[in-house]
Amino acid sequence: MNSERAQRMIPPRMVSARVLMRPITPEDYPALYRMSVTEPVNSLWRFRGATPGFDEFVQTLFRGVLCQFAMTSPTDGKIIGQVTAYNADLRNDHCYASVCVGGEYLNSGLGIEGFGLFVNYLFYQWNFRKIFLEVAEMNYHNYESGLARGIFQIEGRLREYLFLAGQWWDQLILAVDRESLEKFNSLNIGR
Amino acid sequence: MGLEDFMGVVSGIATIAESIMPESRLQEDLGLDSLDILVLVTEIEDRATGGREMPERMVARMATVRDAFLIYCEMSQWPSGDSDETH
Repeated sequence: MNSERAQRMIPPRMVSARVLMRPITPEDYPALYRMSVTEPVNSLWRFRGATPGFDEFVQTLFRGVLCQFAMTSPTDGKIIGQVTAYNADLRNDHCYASVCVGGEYLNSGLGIEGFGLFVNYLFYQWNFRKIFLEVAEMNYHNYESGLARGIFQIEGRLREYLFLAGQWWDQLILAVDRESLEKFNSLNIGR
Repeated sequence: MGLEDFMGVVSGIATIAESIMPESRLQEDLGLDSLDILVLVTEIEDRATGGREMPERMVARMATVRDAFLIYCEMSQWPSGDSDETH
């Protein structure tokens, strides 16, 4: 047995400068529920305007999920958001991942910082070739510089797939692979 | 680094940099998205403190170019080895 190799193993990174990823516990359910059903998250994310009851939210929180974490502030422990890996295909080595940030942390950059931690975690734990993201057209602007930097690639587009604000929007499928993730890591965000 | 030079740093990140002003809003006026904001944060960290990290409450204050410059100035004044929590 190669004990030297085991001893050199570095555990996955769970904290950056401004985001700490930790497992979701029942004490988090009310905060995650409030984030999910409060605008603008409610319209733009998982429930697309629907407002499930708290019990239904809890029952479906881990459905289809490979792993997920609460993103919290390392200083005060407040929940910033949530990262989720779902629809994992362990035969074909890919999964989908999402990030959600609520309230005062919207557009702060912390979502991307936490998502970077999470994608590194997924590639650390599983032999994935690609991780996909489902990005609604109205959220596409949040990924433009990532695309320009080669961190994400557009893999597909579902035309007029989502209805919101009285009009139809496309849904884009973006992907990140191990090579393109290194472009994110090279930015040294959150060190 | 003065404000003019700092605006040069921001214009290197912004997608809409033709009329960058101190009161320009980073996202709405200059087109910075979340990743661009973090790239700017990293630039400020490197230039102001040699790499010490900007806490999230300071990131949340960065709405305009002037806000970001004031944060740069504030971080430049951090004594070496001082805790982020004291600021």
